[in-house]
Amino acid sequence: MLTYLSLHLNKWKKRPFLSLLLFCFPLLATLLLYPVFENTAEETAVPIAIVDEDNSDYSETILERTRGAERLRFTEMEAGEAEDAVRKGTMEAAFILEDGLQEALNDGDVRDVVTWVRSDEALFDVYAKEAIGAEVMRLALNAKAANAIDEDFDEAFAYSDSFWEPAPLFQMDFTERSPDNPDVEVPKLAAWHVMAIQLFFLYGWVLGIFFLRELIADEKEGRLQRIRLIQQTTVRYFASHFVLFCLVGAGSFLLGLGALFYLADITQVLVQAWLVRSLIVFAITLLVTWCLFMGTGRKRWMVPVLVLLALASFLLTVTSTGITGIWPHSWLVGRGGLG
Amino acid sequence: MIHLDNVSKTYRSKEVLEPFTLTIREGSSVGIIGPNGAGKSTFLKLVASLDKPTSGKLSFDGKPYGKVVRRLRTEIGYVPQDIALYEELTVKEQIAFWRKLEKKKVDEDFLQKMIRMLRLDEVYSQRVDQLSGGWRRKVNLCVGLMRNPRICLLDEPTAGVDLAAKEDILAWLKQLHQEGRTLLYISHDWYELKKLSDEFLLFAERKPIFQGSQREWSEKRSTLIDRYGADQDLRRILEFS
Repeated sequence: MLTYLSLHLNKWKKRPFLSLLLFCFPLLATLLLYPVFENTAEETAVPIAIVDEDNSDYSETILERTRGAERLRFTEMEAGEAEDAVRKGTMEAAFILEDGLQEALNDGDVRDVVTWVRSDEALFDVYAKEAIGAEVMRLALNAKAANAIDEDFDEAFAYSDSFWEPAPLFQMDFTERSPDNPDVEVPKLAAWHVMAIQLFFLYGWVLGIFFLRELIADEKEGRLQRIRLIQQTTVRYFASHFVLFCLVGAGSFLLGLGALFYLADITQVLVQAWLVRSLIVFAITLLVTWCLFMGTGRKRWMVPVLVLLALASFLLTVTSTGITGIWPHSWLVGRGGLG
Repeated sequence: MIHLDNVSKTYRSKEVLEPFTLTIREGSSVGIIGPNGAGKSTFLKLVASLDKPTSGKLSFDGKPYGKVVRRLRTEIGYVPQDIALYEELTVKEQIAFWRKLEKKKVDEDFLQKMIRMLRLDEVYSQRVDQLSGGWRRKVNLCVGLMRNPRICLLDEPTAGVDLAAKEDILAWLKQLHQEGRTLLYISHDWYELKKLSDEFLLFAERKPIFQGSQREWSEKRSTLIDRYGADQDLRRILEFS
């Protein structure tokens, strides 16, 4: 095994840049493109204009808290500017925190404190409405509670607000489960993370397939015959090359996966789930690929056929075309709800 | 030493060797010649145990190949017609790799002697794919024979080689023969064959049609021309001898 490993390392050393680039491509692509994709994902968030007419502590609090909302991108504007933006379609909606908001909320009145300006095409601004509404209600309830007792208002307000941290009191704790496997809690990745993993899987698989060309060349150019004569058998040659085939494919895939998980700051549970699943699916895929290659007599035409199979697996899974369950890419993301 | 009894070989219903019987004596140097497609390389692969005969039996030291194939393979050094090397490697890396694959310990003195005789130390750190045809042939020969074999099977070891390299290779093979090794050597060059062989083996029409010493060859040459002269390629080979 080590003899063949050192042989291939020596060969790769002759073209170190190309070899490293090919092997580490998923890793490098992740490191270079992750910030771009992350920004793109942010840019695809629903654009919402928010206008602070009240300029009070409460309106400031609302602005601050809504800033971190997922899938929503709040931009502070003047009222006229915000209405223009909604009209032009650059903002899906605008929310105006009306003058007198703090005063009204302190009186426990939540009517007419926020104005919602939306275009006819707006779809997803309801999420923004929910987010702002929740913050307004929180302030109103805190104020109402503080007004109800004869203590210091600020102290009572802060005490009431403490029930909202770290999560609001009486908040439902939903647990998502897969319909296929109700016993397993569904860990989730962002859609573009899953797509990246599928691409790394395709790349690792194809890289492994290209490595198989070494076996074809060894046979065609008489080296396998020489090995058979020297070693008496070719079992060790094929066993070693199977291990190297797996190392090349899975190594490249795992480098990309590792970089993605590191940059995405994903939970330990999710990392473990993906790693275990990916390794099992990759091992099965490589074993099947190897058996197909060896079973058809290690023919040259088998390499493009296997590459086409890998591409079909990726494309048909991603586009959900045909019987997707037969493809390794669907095993990777389909069952168990990992996707 | 090696006996082939009524051996034939067929590939996909095409007979490449018709049944024949012959014996290779220990310590002999057999020069094999014949037109392209006459079955010379197939014959050498059968002797090397790299291929199995369709019919007939081979024996080594009186025992069937099937029973002694492991021992036989340790005694054989095979140099194929193709440059069966990892061409991206340097000569040094190449020799190191094939030496590691050897089951039995490589005789270091023999290997160093061969490297000196073939002057491979001059190109030790060069990549094989950057060497000329002659040097590549020499490396191919060195790798094939590094196990210090008892039987050397050589399929056109000097094909496409310049004169200087050819002389190095022939001198080394001559020395191996003088030290008592058995040589089976395919070539299209009568100069080489006469210099190296004490016996000729002529292949034609998918079987050996002559086996004998240089003297016997001279005696039977005209008879062979009369008998097989219709084959233009064979006629030329016979006339040039």
